[in-house]
Amino acid sequence: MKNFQRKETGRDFYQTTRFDLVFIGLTLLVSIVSFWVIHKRFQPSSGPSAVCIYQKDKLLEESGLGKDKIIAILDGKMQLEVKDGKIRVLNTDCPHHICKNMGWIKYNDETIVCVPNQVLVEIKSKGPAIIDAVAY
Amino acid sequence: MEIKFKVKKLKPIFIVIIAIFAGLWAIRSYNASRFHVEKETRFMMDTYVTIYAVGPKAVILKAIELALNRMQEIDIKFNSLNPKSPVYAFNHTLESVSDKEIINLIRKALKISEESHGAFDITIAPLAELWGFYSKEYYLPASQEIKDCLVSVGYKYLSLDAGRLTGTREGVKIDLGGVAKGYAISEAIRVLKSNGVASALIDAGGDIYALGKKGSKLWKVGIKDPRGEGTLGYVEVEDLAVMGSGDYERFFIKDGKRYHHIFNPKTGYPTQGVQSVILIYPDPVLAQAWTKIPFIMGPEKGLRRLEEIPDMEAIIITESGKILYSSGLKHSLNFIKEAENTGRQ
Repeated sequence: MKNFQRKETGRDFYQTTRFDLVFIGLTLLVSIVSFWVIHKRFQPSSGPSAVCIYQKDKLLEESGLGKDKIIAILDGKMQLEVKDGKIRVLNTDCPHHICKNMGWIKYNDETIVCVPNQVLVEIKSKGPAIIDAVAY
Repeated sequence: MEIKFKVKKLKPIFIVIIAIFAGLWAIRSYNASRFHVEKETRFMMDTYVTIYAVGPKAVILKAIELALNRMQEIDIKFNSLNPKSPVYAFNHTLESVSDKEIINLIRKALKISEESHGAFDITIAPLAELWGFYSKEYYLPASQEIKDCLVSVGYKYLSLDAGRLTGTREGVKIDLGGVAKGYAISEAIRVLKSNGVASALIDAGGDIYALGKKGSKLWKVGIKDPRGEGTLGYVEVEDLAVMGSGDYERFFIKDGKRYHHIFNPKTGYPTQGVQSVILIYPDPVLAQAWTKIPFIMGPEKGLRRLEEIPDMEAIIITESGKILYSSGLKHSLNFIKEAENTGRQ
């Protein structure tokens, strides 16, 4: 088979050419860059980067948690406080105030829920979750 | 133009390396399909429910939807405040309950009442009503009002005969909130399994069930700090429910005193001495019901009682912030180490 190929092409298939060298070099480069990107992406997150606030599956607001602030939603009926990379419900018009009682959240995928207002506050980090859910 | 190199075998080595990478890529693609994660959240049972499932996309999407549908069915059927529920009819018209599914759950609840010497009781509905936890208009009743109310509180005023539930005392009402969420979770797990899901996490407003593993790792479930910020730490679980009850869920404060939704069926008042209880146990129905016991029995006695149940692990946080835990957890939980380091133990 090898001899036959040599006859057909007039060269040794297994012999390294300039094209092979460039191809090998590019492949190695792509591999190293891909490995670095994947490694960075799947590092456990060191802290929350953002919070998403939904009402009935509709995204009301997405905001970073790096800066302390007050977020008002539902025409001011509900206020959320962002402080030191955490978020909590500061004021709400719902009757039980269960959402307010849930306190601060900061880990990826942690949520605060206000059932009467159908509001879901969810932390979104860049990396995978450190904790999958919180029991309470 | 052809360049001859000293290392002529470079090309075959590279072909072998490419073949290995191609193989690894194929395995990775297969695993990406096998370990694909989907989640869906719905509001129900007076809270939210999120199901995460791991597996082939088409399989898990369908399974999650069916599991959530099943939980919504249970929510309607077992909710004592829903006029469509047989439980509502029992409470308002004294119509007996004969629905087999409800009867089976009530039978289970009554067994827990017996085993806990009445600490767990599904007939506390008149108390919750009196204190305004149903109307959402909180009210601090006078002691005589509570005494009058207690006349119709007691699981022994329920009769289960020939698959039919009747009340043996006027005014007796039931609230299945102490077991229904656990039952809904157990049914969701059954639906997920029967639809080919082997790895999932159900979060029903802080009551968790971890089915199988998350890929090759255990599911990590955080334990909320009842008064502080964030979590005390986490437990790693597989095929276990992690259920919680706390005095911070539904409460009101009057004259500086906290009144919450977990009642002592003997006194008629909200319990004191315990902030929160987390139970880890395979059966979510039993786990949910037994979370109430330390509130009523008190932290130390409650923990001793829970330790008598094989495979049940418990974390109790007392009124003063002291953390008690069952002996099986002593060396296995991350949060215990954190608590000890911060001097909270």
